[in-house]
Amino acid sequence: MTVLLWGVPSEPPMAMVSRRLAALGADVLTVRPGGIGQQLDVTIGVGSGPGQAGRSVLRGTIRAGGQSVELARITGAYLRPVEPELVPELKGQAEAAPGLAHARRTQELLTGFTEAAPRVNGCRVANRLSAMASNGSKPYQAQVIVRHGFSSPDTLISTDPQEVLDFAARYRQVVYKSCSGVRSIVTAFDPVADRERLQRLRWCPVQFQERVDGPDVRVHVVGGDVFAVIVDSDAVDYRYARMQAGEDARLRAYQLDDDVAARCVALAASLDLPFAGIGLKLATDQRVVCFEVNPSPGFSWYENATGLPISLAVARWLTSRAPTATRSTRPWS
Amino acid sequence: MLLVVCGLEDESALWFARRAAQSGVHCRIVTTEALSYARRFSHRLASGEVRTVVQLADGPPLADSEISGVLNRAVQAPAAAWQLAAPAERDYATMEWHAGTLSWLHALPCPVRNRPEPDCLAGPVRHPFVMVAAAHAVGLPCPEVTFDTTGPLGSADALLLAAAQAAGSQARPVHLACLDGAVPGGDLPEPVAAGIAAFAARVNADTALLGLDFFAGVGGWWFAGASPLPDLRAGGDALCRRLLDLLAPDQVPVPS
Repeated sequence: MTVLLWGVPSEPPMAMVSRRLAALGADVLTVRPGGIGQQLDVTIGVGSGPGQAGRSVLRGTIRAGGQSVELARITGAYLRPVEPELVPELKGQAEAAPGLAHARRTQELLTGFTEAAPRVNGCRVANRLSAMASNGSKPYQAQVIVRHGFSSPDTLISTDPQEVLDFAARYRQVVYKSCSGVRSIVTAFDPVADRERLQRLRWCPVQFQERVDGPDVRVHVVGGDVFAVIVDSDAVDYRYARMQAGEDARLRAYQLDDDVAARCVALAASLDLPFAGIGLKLATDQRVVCFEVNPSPGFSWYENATGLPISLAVARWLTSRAPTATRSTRPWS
Repeated sequence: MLLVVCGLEDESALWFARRAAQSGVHCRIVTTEALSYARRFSHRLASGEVRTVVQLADGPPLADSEISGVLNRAVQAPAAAWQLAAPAERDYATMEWHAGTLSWLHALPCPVRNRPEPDCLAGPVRHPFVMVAAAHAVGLPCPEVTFDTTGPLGSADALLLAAAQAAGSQARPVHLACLDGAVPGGDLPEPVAAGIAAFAARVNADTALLGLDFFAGVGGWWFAGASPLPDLRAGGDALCRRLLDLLAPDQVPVPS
């Protein structure tokens, strides 16, 4: 049994999971984005004709860095790939450049394998790229979030400056941030200083939200396990606390209420994310507000600060073969 | 009001819109290009409710409550207005518009075919490996095809070619417009019809429009691919009627 690690080996989350897998004695196959620095070839056979219903529909091998592994042996996969166009060694290459074409082809085949394997081979994948896409629309995620009993901050996405000013007038403070998967810094809106800039909304909607007071809690869900971290910071966006508040946020492990923990597990499962980072706020008005579900959590900061064994849980999940190949909430996965 | 959301050059969607209008249905076409130049886009989420108002350059505002159903065939985010912008700005705006459009169409309380999914505004798109595995599982004949890193074709094209070869030199291509697991007006071999319904359910597209490709030839019908963007003209009057019943139920049906 082999676990596929698809990502940059030196990146902290990938490195931490890799070390845990080694400690567990797991066989690991590492595929770097674009196959940079390694000989990488993928062969995948699919389908079968009439009368061959019992034959496996997903066959082949992945050869990377001198290792060759049959697809049927891959029982777990941890994905943090980088798009070929963004790999430094490939950036700026011409469309027809062989290196870029090979990287794209490899990306497509590995994507197909990791999309199909959970159902076909019972492989555990954290997470399929198609499932990660929900992070591309925060308001879409918000619709899923409220169905799981969490509050979502009052939100306006608008191209209308006056509507934004009216919205801001209803709250003590309003913040703005990207509504897509683009990483942005959550910033307080100033109706006076930002008034002129509001005219720029005309061509691109921007997301404004009520600012919710109370401590942030980051919840990592790994299968059915939950690891919560509470954040102490005065910053609007605690990830950038040094820049916004002059000092780093302080993190410590936190015991989440059982009901909230169960809802976090259900929320991640509904998005088909065996591994997820959920952003909560324990609002002073008693609401449990959920901002987003990160499908590719950079958990290393939280683990290093608190000692919570998140990477160990991921490694254990990857090496525990699913009892059936169809446990997912979505029938094709 | 029936809303048709599509790209400016989506002849299939425009054909359906014409048929709807000819039938007396109040139909409004919103191209993604026009959406990009909207005078106002307002998307509000509060207390578990979602309200959206879109004011295009012409016509009255589009409010959720006035829309009886949506034929959604948007593939691209409405970012035409950004096409000449610096790449970083354009990419950012495209992703923001994608996020807003996805949330708007997903939240509409009326029937939507297809309701968008996070990885495709036009609805259920699946990797060819997933489709082949699903087709195989439900008993639709699938060609054997091998993909590797040196192959000249993408996976979807390689599957199409393999199906054509498996079906033999006399094979004919068949394109079907499948709505909610059935092919309206389709005169299909029974095993194929049953297989299509099971396939749609298996890829979580049993309430969706799908385009299904086969090659009919040696050994029956060979599965060659699927997409969320069928050519609606393949379904003719029968598909039009079913869609109008679904998306504009209180309006005039297409005469048979």
